[in-house]
Amino acid sequence: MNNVAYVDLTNQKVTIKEIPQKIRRLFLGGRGINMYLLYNHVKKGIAPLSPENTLIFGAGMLTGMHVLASARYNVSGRSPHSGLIGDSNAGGFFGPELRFAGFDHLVITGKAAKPVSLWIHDGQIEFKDASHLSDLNTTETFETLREESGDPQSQMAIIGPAGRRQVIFANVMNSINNANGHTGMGAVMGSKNLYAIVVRGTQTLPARDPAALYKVFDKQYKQVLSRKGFKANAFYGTLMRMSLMRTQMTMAGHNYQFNAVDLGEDVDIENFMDKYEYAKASCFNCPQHTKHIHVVKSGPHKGMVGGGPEFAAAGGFSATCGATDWETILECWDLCNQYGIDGMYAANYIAWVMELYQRGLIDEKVTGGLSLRWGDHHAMTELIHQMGRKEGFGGLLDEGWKAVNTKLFGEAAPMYERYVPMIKGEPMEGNFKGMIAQALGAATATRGSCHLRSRYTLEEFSLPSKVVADILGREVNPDPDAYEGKAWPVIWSENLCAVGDALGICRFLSKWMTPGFLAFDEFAEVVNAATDLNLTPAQVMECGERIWNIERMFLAREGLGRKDDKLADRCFDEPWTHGARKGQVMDKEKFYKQLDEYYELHGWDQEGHPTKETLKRLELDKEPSHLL
Amino acid sequence: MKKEIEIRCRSCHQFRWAVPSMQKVVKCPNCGQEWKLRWFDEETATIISPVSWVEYERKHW
Repeated sequence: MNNVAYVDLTNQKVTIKEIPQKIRRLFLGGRGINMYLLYNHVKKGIAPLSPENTLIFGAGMLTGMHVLASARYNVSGRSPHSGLIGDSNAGGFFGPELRFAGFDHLVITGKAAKPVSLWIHDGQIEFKDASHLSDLNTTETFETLREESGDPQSQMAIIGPAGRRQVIFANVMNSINNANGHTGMGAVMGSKNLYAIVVRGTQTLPARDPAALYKVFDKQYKQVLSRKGFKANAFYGTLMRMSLMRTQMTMAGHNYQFNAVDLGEDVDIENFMDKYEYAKASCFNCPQHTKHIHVVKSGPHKGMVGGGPEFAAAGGFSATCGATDWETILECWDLCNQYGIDGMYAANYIAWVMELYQRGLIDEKVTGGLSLRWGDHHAMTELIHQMGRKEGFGGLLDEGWKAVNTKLFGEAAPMYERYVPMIKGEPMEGNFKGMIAQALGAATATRGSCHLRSRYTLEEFSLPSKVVADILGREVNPDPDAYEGKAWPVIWSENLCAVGDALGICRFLSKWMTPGFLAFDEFAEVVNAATDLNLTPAQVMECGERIWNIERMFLAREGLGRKDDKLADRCFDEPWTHGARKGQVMDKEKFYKQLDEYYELHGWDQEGHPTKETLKRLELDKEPSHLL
Repeated sequence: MKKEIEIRCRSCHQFRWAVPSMQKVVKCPNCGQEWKLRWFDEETATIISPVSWVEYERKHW
């Protein structure tokens, strides 16, 4: 228990080491220890798709235990998409099974001479030939490996065609509706010739006080189930945001040009539920089961079955790319899953080139004959096929926005960057102009723009000031349009997300999602029942701060700082186009002034780098310490 | 007597008003927007969409 396996693919060697108690106390597990390993193992400037990159799998400290929604694990490395922090969190059943098989973390280095898979079973790790997976899509890969394992309980993390071709926004998939999307960890896995990891374990995960853990579980289960947010999420899943953001007019219409577009009546979540939802699916130990299973029952796509969709891609393929029917959205989503591509990235790339086409900056000669009209079914699906196969114009997009922008516009490329929907090289999600704290979170998120890293979701709920103060532990400026006093909600959200990822608890059951869910008090209760760490809620929160700071240290080592904590220019110079805020723009000067308050609260200097005092306070002053 | 449950209009944002339990379509007394509700039980409802998306979006065009 609490072991790390170091897997050298070049020499097919495995070394096992126990995680020191000090590292668990400081970083907990999951994303926390992954980030420690990343900072300690991934050297400055190494190429993300070279054997020198390190691919790290890490289950949360409580993953697989009798803890609510304890399904999560992270996959980390240097990102081939942004060149910076690669890190992605997923649910499903792989993380728990990895721990049942005897390992909390896998540190994978080198490159196999030919395609391999790792088979992990109760403390043993075997290398197996994986050449026969070379032509399979993700569903076929899962079916093949499950049959070969002879055990329906075996779990697997795999790459699909996109990962094998090293598409830089390829996912690691652990089922047809569970992916480590974002930051291209599937491409890193592909670059190492590692096609799959199959795990099966029968070991138990002992708790310090099992009776106390049962009590805590029962209490938190009742707390969560009583909330309206739970009922809505359990029914609609993340598609609830399709309703919320469309009514609030915060969609990223046509590549963020508009905050609303005419999507018509079909793209309504009740329509999805009535016509396409077949069942719900859940991750390990989660009562909320937000995942849809869909089936198309008639029309040209009759018989199409898939997991999801989730809002990030459904909103992307609809408002951002312009599709006005569920069948286009579902086909795009399912194609992404079969190739093993991140749907949100695909949607952002498609929307970007559609805007270039709309503006006459590219034409059919560039696109290989594709007419990139908003919402065009053929154009969207064909681009995804091309991305997955690394062919044609879609295949060009696999090189990433910077390379493509330069290829298209040469020396004038910087002028056209305004149409690229990315922050620190990662895609935006949703139109957060006007939500000042969320925009600050996007500008400063450590893996690039990311709603899953630091989004202050409660900003959308117009909660009474007292409720907010009780949750956040201090008064927060209640004026939604103010630029002062928004730094603390962002930092609080960073810490909450980091701790949840480190413990392996899904953020969908945390206050990131809805006010009555779990946060630091509940996390401390469960940590203390399950482990011998004996942490106060404040100490748990400090673990989140420490994780955020070691991520920031990684960025600082790569030369990033204040100049990189920024939003796309169009966030400031293109006004809201519809609704109550029509005509408003964000004030650039006031927005960037917020960084002073944000850095000061963090204990960083004016460049946004942690000061010596901050590093000492967080016990990070000796990093890299190479204890693992 | 039927219970009344408070909901908040998503068009004029801050405005809350009470609606009869299980009523499927409601109208905001402040801005007049008509909404479809989803009831998860007799005490829990959420706005799911305007009665017509096309009309809603055109109103804000």
